[in-house]
Amino acid sequence: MEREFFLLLATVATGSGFLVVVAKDPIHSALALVACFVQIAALFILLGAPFLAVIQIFVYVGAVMVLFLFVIMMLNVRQEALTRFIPSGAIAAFVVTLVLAVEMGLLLSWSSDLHQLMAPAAEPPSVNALSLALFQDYLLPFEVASVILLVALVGAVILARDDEKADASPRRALHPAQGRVPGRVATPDTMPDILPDNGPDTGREPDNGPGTSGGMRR
Amino acid sequence: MEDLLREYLPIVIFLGLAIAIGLVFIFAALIIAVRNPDPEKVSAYECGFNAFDDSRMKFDVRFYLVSILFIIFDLEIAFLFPWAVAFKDVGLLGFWSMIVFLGVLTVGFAYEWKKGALEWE
Repeated sequence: MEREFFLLLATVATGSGFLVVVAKDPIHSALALVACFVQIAALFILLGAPFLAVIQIFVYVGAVMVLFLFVIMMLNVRQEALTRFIPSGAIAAFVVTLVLAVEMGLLLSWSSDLHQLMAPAAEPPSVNALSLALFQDYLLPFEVASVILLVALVGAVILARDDEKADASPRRALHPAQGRVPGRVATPDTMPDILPDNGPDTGREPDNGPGTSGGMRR
Repeated sequence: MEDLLREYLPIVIFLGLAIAIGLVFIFAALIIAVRNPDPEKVSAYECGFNAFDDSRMKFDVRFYLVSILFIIFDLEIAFLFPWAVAFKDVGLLGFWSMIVFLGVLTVGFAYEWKKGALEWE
């Protein structure tokens, strides 16, 4: 039974991983990547590491995928969907993949340390053992992790804030739609636009001026 | 090991049912539903006004900042899981080490708040 589940999960993971690469639309790639991550989390459970599965869902599906999605949202998706791999880049990518595959094969066949690691553990590792190791033997690395996270946080804030001050107006220009109607609520004077005129929406705001509300949409 | 996997059987059944129901809806809609599209029906809908823009528009970079900040606190929570599981075994030292950890990140949170990174203006 375990074997059947492994085969099912591994097949779906490989298939969705393949889909990440071949999908035309970046958003389809991202969705396939989510599917792949979830399958890998299920594989972790099958290997007897539920904590790793939770972390996989929590960090990769929850947070890293959100980052990817935001990167995609900052692209011009319609245009990116049309461009494919650069041919010369594809050759380089192929070479790198080949090197990695050979490396992995050599590791699997030659390394004795790896085989020792892969031998089945005497007892399945528990979260309790992990946390005892983390909070007793490896306290310093744990505290260092908090400092590293702090550095990342400060770096992210500084990068984004300075960026904002430097080009506050070009950022606005990135959203032609945002300056159009301040507040964008269907107030009575914008109501006529709701009527089905499907032409380009010109003459919408005679006196509205470029709005200062770069508020969030959606 | 077997017991551990057996605990996950309900989740597998749940996921299988969820996928099956989703597929049933999709294929039932494909087979049974009446389709006669016109430009009004298939165009994008925004509540209360004509669509400004394509839905595949570029988003503000500030969304990205919020998600980076989210990842950092997400990782903090990831450390809290094992701590909570072994709360009784890690002792006082483990307790205070986690408080220090949270304290360092709270400094970061205060900094980010003070800097206005959470403001949208």
